[in-house]
Amino acid sequence: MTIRRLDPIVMDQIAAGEVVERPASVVKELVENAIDAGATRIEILLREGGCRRIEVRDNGSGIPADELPLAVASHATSKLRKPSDLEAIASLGFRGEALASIASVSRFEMTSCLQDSQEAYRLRVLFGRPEDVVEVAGAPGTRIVVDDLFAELPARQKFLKRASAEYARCSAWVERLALAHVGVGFRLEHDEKLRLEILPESPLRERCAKVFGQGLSERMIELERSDPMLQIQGLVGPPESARRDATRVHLFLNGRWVRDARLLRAVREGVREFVPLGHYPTLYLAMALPPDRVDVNVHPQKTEVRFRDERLVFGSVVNTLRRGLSQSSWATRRVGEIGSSSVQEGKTPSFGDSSPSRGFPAPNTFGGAPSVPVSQATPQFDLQVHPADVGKGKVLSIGKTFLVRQVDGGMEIIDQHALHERVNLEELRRDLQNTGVAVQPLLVPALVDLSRQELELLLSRSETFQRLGVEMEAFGETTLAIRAVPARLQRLVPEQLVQDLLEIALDHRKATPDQIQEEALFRMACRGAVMAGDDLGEEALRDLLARGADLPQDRTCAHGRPVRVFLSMEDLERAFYRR
Amino acid sequence: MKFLIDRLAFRDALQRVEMAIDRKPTRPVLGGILIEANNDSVVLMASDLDMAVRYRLGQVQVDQPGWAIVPGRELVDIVKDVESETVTLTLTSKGLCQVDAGEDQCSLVTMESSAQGFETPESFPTVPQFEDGEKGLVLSKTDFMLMVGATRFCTSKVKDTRFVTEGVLLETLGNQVTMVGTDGRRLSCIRRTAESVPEKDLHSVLMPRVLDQVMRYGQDEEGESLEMRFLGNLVGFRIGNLESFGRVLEGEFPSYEAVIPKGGKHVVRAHRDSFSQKLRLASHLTSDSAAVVKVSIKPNMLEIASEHEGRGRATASFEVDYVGDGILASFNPVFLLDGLKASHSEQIELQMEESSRPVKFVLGDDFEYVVMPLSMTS
Repeated sequence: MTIRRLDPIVMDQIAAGEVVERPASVVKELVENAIDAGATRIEILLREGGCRRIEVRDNGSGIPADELPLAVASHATSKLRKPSDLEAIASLGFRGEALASIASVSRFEMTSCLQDSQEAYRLRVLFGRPEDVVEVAGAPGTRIVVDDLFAELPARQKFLKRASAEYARCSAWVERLALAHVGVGFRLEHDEKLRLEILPESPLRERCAKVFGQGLSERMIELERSDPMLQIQGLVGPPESARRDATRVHLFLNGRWVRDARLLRAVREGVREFVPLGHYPTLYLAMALPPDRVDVNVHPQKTEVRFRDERLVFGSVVNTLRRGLSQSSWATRRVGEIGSSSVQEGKTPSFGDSSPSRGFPAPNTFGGAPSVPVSQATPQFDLQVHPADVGKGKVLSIGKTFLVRQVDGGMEIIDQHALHERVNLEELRRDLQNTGVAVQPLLVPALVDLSRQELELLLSRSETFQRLGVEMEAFGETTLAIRAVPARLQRLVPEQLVQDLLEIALDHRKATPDQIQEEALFRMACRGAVMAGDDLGEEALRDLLARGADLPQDRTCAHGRPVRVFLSMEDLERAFYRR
Repeated sequence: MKFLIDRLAFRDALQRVEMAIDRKPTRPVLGGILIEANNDSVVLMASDLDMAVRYRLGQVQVDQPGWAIVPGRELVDIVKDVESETVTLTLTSKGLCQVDAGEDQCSLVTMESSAQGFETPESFPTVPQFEDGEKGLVLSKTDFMLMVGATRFCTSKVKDTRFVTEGVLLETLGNQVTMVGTDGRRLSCIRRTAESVPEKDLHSVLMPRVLDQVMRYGQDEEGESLEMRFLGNLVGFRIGNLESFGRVLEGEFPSYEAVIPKGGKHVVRAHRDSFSQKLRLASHLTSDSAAVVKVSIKPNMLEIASEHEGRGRATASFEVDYVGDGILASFNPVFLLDGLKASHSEQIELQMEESSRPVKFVLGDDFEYVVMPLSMTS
């Protein structure tokens, strides 16, 4: 067998595999081109999930007739001029691969008309073999038709799924692009049925309504961070809309939809106290940072990115989410407002409408003075506005697991473990920020046998652990001595603590000390908490509830499970068909 | 099997064995009580494999000897609720245990009995015997109760048998008996003299459940002394008619002697009740049960300060007997209160070397309590 240079057409078809995998990638590339061309209205018409036909029409700038053949040549692009442009990519496309790739694996037809021109020109390419450019009739903008994708490449065609599955992927891309480009209108048709229509002037929340549903979109709260180096704008959905997969997470970087494993981790981190562990929120998050601070040229599909300053980006994402969520009604404790039936966004509770059973009087409301939001009232050293309402009301313990009590407007069920865990976490955090953690040195150091590697790993993190009140040192080559534990966690067993810290260190080998500290805090808060089934005495119960009342956030435990469930009188009446 | 018995005596006896009935038995028989009627006595036994109890009732009118394993909880409840002065238990030929109490009648299905032709209960776990002639550890009952009371409160509360500190250490050296309880953060140690000791010195960690049971019912039993026997990995207690057995916890108990300070530069004598009262006062303004109080010792004065962020702060002081430099240390108030509550004497002594070293409280004759002060990070 002799070695020969590949036929250029075959070369193109092979290269196309990187960019054009399936109809959805064609849709993505064509729509992005349209956006780069300044279009404000884009129509996408699909047939049989795009396997039969993909048609994209835009009202963008158009391509001059003499440049049409060049547009479908590989590595030809209008978006980059010189190598240094790669350092700061502002357009969606830039590699100059897309059209060439698509044209090499389909029956391709491109008709374009410049904005101020009367003539349109058409170029056809049949599986990589271009025909001559001809003049035709057409409206300003570009229209591209891709027929019979992969028809001449049975090997690739085999990997296509059912038309409905391919369509779902195509529409997902259209949705992503529609979310990313407010100001651009989209219209998606599949097999001659209108599936999505978004007007150019439609605002973000309306776009979210089309993508996530009206009800959910209305309940999403806004996130914002402005910093010249990194702007973040977003909408995040309520905890109950969280899902196990990340299909509802839409991250945009400079208008480009990205799916970066580490960014997703930052998202999870940012919402971890609000949604159940391992769940992702419904999220729209758009980040804007100077193009030279980020590299999008990592992968042909451009959904992965590299940041110059990862810490800034990840940290900001985490903080923006946390701050936004902690100010939401999902986090703020509102007696009488927690729960689905009575969520009233934006309403601040006032002491005026609280139950008379509150432990402290609230003299500042008597003169009709403005009410004080609970979340702001707690951190101050001010006995008068303290919202502790652990009053004289009876608390009923159910199965040594749940606590039930009457609150204003209904009843509340509390998970004792979840509450204690949350209390521990908040108190540990507060201690860390203010006075430092109270440390209980042990009378006799607890010795734990470990492997040499485990010992080294733990000791490499010992400074972080020490900040939390855990003091450790090597005791021989394979034994760790725990000298002190946090005083607050009386239920903590040193041996168990070592196992937990080891797991954290193993799972987060590359994490920063702050991340490790956070993980350790969560674990310790959980370990130090009473369990479901633990019998709490009257006093311990009261103490726990009082501590819970002091918290800035006590709706979910550290793992995102609910701490309290509120049943309003309405809920109860409905349950008994009194309504 | 048939016998007539005083109801209250029977009820009390059943309560004593009740603690060894398995609440969620893996085998039905572990949830049962074995009743053995001999010539003039009835013996009740229960075992959940971790703990076993045997109780002997004398002066019972036994009409017909025999034995039966009956559902434990049901029998206890029935005998508690009937009102007659006496109760008659009869094992029928069909293997039912009939309880006659005045006008009331119950019959319980036995799990195994002599009526079925069995010689001895086969499925029931063996409850050990106190063999005569062997030499055990004998303590005055009062001393034993004092010792357990002085140590049990500071054992580890984490219910995990992996941790030996859940139990109380018992040691003998000659005829001196030492008991130690610790949860790693504090330690209490008490010594008494035994009435008689076994030939070999002892070193065992006693299971808390059995101790609790003996503490609860031992006081009402006849006799002034308590005998302990160590049988393999079991320890048995005998007071009057009650015999309780429990496992000895395996594992290395912290070497307590190294922990207890020999003395201290700063020696304070204080009145127990004033100390407790001031501590309680200060702990109202600590943030939670795992709170911190600052104890500052000045000449003739002890000051306790606390602060709850967001609620307020408190300072309480009282007169003590102290000469020397001032010293300050932080404590968990619960640990101090626990110790003071367990104290045997009204005057206590506090010995301290420095604020980062263990502090020793002398709470009575040969009763020492050691607490590790707290420190702060950063």
